[in-house]
Amino acid sequence: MSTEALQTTLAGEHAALYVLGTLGGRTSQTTDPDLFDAIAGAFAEHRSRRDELVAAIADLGAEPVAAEAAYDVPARVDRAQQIARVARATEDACATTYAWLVANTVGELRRWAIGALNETAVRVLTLRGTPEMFPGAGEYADR
Amino acid sequence: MPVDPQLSRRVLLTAGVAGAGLLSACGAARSPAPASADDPDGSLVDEVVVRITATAALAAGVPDLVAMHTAHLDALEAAPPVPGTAPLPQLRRSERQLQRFLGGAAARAESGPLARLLASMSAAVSQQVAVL
Repeated sequence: MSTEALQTTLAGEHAALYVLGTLGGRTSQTTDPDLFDAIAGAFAEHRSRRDELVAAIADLGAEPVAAEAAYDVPARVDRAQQIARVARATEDACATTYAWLVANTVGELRRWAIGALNETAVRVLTLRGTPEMFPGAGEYADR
Repeated sequence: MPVDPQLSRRVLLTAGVAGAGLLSACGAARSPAPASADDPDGSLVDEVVVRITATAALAAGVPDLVAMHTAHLDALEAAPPVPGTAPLPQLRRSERQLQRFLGGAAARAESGPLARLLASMSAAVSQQVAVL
């Protein structure tokens, strides 16, 4: 299960990188420096996560899943508030994926997923987010 | 992306053995009890409840923290905390310790769904510490 779970997470990282890269290209470093830095930081972090996942999957003897040619990015997202909202949604989706990975791994891979979930949860706060009760596992907050 | 449904504490504790974690939260609350052979995460959950309750006992000055700890205890079907107060540096230190403990507990859990819940709690504490 670990390899399959890692492949699913890697596919999510490919999508996140595409979306964040697109959003970064629509963000002005001059007029919205905080947002630009937040997206640039998120992009760099996800790139590192992607590379770590590729290495982990290769270590397990599997072929890492490749990125799609393109992913859907909401059209007409060019205002800072809209960009931040989409970036946050992307990070929230990654947090959900990391939490799912926690449930589907053990040992070192699970510890990696726990760390990724924690870091993503904190980083999303830079995108005008507020703390949640259950990052990555929001259904518990709806009980 | 697959997402686990809500799980009662009883289910969380048995999911690792029975492999059946897809039940809705409908179990009655129970008091902490000694772990049994059929309950591989029982003592871990009891330990988590004790640690959250102790940390929440310092957090009365920060309502958001109390709300978070209460929600976490509720997810484990444990009683709500009785908040007290502590100086901010002590509170911050205690929350950081709890965050690390929860991350470690998530790594130790036999049950995948329980591990996911504990990791999420750890991340929630990380967020609160970041804004504290």
